[in-house]
Amino acid sequence: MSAFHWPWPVLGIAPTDDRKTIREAYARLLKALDPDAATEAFMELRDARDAALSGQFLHPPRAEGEEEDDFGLGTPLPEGTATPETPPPADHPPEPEERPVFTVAYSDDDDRRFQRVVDLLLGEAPLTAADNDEINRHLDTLFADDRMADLGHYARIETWLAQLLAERFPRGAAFFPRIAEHFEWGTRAHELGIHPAIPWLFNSHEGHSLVSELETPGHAYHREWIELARGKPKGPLWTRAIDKPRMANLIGTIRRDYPWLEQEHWQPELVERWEKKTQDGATKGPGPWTWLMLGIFLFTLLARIAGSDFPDSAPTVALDQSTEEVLDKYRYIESPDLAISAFIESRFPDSDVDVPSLRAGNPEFFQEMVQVWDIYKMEPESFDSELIEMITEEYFLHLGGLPYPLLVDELKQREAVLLGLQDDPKRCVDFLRNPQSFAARNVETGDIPPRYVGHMLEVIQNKLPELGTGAPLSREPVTEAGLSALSAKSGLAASALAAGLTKPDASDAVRCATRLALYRRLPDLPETEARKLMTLALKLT
Amino acid sequence: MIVGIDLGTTNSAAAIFENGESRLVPNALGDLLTPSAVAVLPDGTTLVGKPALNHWAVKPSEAVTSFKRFIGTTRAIKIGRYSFKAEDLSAIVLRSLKEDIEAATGEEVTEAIITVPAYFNDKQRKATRRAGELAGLKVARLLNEPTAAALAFGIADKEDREPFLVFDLGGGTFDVSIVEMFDAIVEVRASSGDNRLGGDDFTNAIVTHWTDQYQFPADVRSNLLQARLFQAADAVRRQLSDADEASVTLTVGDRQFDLSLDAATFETLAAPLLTRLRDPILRSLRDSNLRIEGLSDIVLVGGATRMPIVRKAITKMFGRFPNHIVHPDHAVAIGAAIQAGLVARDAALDEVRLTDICPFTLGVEVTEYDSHGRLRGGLFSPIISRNSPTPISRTNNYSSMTDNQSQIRLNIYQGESREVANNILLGTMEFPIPKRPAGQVSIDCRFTYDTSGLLDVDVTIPETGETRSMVISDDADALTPEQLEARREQLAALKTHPRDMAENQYVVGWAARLYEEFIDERREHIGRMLLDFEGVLETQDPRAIEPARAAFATALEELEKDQRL
Repeated sequence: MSAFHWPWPVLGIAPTDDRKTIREAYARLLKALDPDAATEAFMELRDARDAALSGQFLHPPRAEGEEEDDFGLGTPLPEGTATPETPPPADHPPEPEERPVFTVAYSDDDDRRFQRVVDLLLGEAPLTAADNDEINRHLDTLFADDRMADLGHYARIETWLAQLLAERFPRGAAFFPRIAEHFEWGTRAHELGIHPAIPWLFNSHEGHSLVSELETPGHAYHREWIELARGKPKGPLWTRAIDKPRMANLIGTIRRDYPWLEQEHWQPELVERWEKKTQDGATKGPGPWTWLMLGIFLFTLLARIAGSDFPDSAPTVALDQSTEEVLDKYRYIESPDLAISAFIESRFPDSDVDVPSLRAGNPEFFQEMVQVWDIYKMEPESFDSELIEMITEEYFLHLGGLPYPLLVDELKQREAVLLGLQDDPKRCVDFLRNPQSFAARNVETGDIPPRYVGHMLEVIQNKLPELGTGAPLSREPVTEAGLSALSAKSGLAASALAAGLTKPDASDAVRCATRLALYRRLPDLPETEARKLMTLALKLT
Repeated sequence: MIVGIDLGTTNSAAAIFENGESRLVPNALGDLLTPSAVAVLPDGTTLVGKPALNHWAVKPSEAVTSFKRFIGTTRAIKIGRYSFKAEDLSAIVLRSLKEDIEAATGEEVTEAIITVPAYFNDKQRKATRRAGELAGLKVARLLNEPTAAALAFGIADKEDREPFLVFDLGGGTFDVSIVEMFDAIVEVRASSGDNRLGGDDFTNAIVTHWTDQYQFPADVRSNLLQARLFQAADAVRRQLSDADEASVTLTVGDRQFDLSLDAATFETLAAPLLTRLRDPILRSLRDSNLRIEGLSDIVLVGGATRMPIVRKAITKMFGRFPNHIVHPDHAVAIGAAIQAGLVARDAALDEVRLTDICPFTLGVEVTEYDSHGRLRGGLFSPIISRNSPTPISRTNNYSSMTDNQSQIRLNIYQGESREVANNILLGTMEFPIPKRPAGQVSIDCRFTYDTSGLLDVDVTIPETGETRSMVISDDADALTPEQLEARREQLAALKTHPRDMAENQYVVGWAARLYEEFIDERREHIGRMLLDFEGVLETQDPRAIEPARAAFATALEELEKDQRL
């Protein structure tokens, strides 16, 4: 909460440094509010006012292309040129101690160049080709001779840059090896507060870094990397993001296969020192922050690997893995605003909707969405995650301005049904017995994706003993033709299906088991096929 | 109807919000202030206020004052054969104030805003709220005393005010608040204080001084002597507000002591207490990012600020004279009634809003590894930091310490020290957690601090989705609703003295006290007058009693004045 991102929409006024206007806006909003009943809203309002009064939020986050002209490409800066005032990017991850970096006015050209590189690398706007060129040019100039050898001068920025580059990966990844090499991060990871393995993983050999290789599907350890991300234990971010023994094991394995890396870059004594220091656990060591960095880094790295085939153009109707992967990718970002803007950026690159306008447009939904987001962050492993992902998407829908083709009501209804069903075996049975009547009572359920029915069946199966035998599931007579079609599609024996689906005296348990078998086939099928199979099965009952 | 009650250490007062303004309601004796004293006679009759004070001077074992200092503790206060907790005694005072208002307005009092020192901790606040419940009052909100005074001060003209400082030195507690007013919003920016510093400490300093100086008979070094000494010291302290020297005659057994004190000596005695005023002031200024020059006013509240030595110290500290607009004894009750008006949504206060803060840091005890991998226990992990605006809700995340840890014990502390040992333990909570390797079980600990300054603690274990709400396991808090009801009935069983008799009882008690204080002729004189008056009382004829009582009271006043001069 301490780092407020953009207070003006909350206050309902345009950015201003007039204390009176800010306080009047606050007073007006406070009078319309009952702090006892709406604690969150009160806290937000109060934080917004304090942020507004602090005078640090007078300028909006830098828009793309703005200030491009402040630095000629490689041309020397005219004497007396004012340093461009770069406000802290609005959605910047909290880094209060280091924040002054942005406000320090550099007089020296090199300093400005370096700061420009830092601003570009760690800013919020997507890096364009022109930005990349500019960074390269600045780095060329800076690294040309030994003028940055005086590291003490840059030490603070450098540490910060190293940590944030690790955190913000893949942003700026292209420059990581170059900067790391120049500053010799490989041997100085310890003092920079990043894990020694990070520079090591990034160090390139004949144009390939280990990371780029691991990213490629088909690499011997590609799966392992993914499992590291997927098989993370639950807990706070830094404990679940990194499974240390396994990572150590994996790194050990990889090291054996890459003797050249070992010789050139691996610093065993540094790593040992590091690991000895932190062996008692990520939360107890001297550098939880550092472990967090590493965790975050690996996590995003892996998320990126997993999501490398993610279509980041045209939004899709299907609520498939793509959403989760996008969420995964940005989940590490503590600021919901940043995460949401990142989500929008990747999902709808052409949309001009931004977080402040979303927040202003529908603050209520925005707030709820942030909450959902938080839940999701906490419980990514539970089966609710799919649901939450869907709801999240729905909130985006409500937030307006985003080109979703889905209907709001449909999603809402679906959510209601699923929320109602998800843990109550009796209601699941009820539903499967007669979706039509359920639909009549509640909502249109035909569109429920197959995996939710599968989930219901899981619920039922887990509770089978409690259910006992009950009335038959089906009502409508089943035709032979329907049964054989189902058998053909699912690959299950027609007799087994008949026993579970059509026999009037079959118990619920048998029915559920049959249906479970049926639905287990679903994930292997393409979405359209699965849907057909589902429809068929539902018709039969 | 909702009323505002200032439940003070020395004096209490009640006020109501009516016709767009707040006014104090007089008690049965016609006084606006009711001393926070309770006496319980052997037959179970309770006396509250001045009559109780009189009784205290005669039979200290049957009466008690300044019990607010023990509120929130389990300490048993013995009165005769009865045993009370401080909250019970507060409830008796509250009940009496409630009856006073009901008698004055003819309306039933159902809800109350009760003021507490800003620096009261969670236990003390909860005990105060229970006292209200025991007195049959729904406590709509607990209001910080300096905040109440600031309301009284700020609402006076509804004008915008730059930050001002409320200096509240009461009988037993000291609070400082920095308050700002803008567009009818009264905003507390910071509070600090010392809830063990008040006028009583100044009085006690005098008592200690006298005990060292005079040879009091050893056999009466008892409660009685202490009570009488305390009263004498208090009288002298008050006299020193107007004079440079004061004296009082104290009769102990057959001996008379002429006790005297001059202002200079008093200042020396009070010096250590005066230095204790500095820290809270500095802290609250620091917390609100203000310098002394940034303060627009210094508002004095609390009876103890009448002492010239305190005023002198304040003037010296701030380099200016304090403001005298508000009545130091009435402001808190007046402000409480304004808050009552706010809660009742009185039209006259439509535009007015109040935001307060949490004056201390709240958090839990944690254990951490230091950079050498050694365990370092007993550390304080703050969740809500001091001077956060209320209501506030904050969550922190904690992890398990050891492999296969099966339960977590959460110690909840209030205070500013990094070591919990120096902070105040508010409660403890133990709950099972799933067995996992160290650090892999996390809990979310949510602290919610409401506008009454009461703390709720919720713990969620994300892994299991289990949520627990904290009931701070202090035995004082462990009252179930049934127990509370039972306790209320016990207190109700104590008879209150008949209201129409209160004034008579007061004069009789006064005479009884003076009888003990004088010797020889004047004692006899009092005895005779008392006998006469008791004779009139027996006639039960109000027309005869009232003039007799007036005459008797005048005579007693004369005698007492004589003694004090």
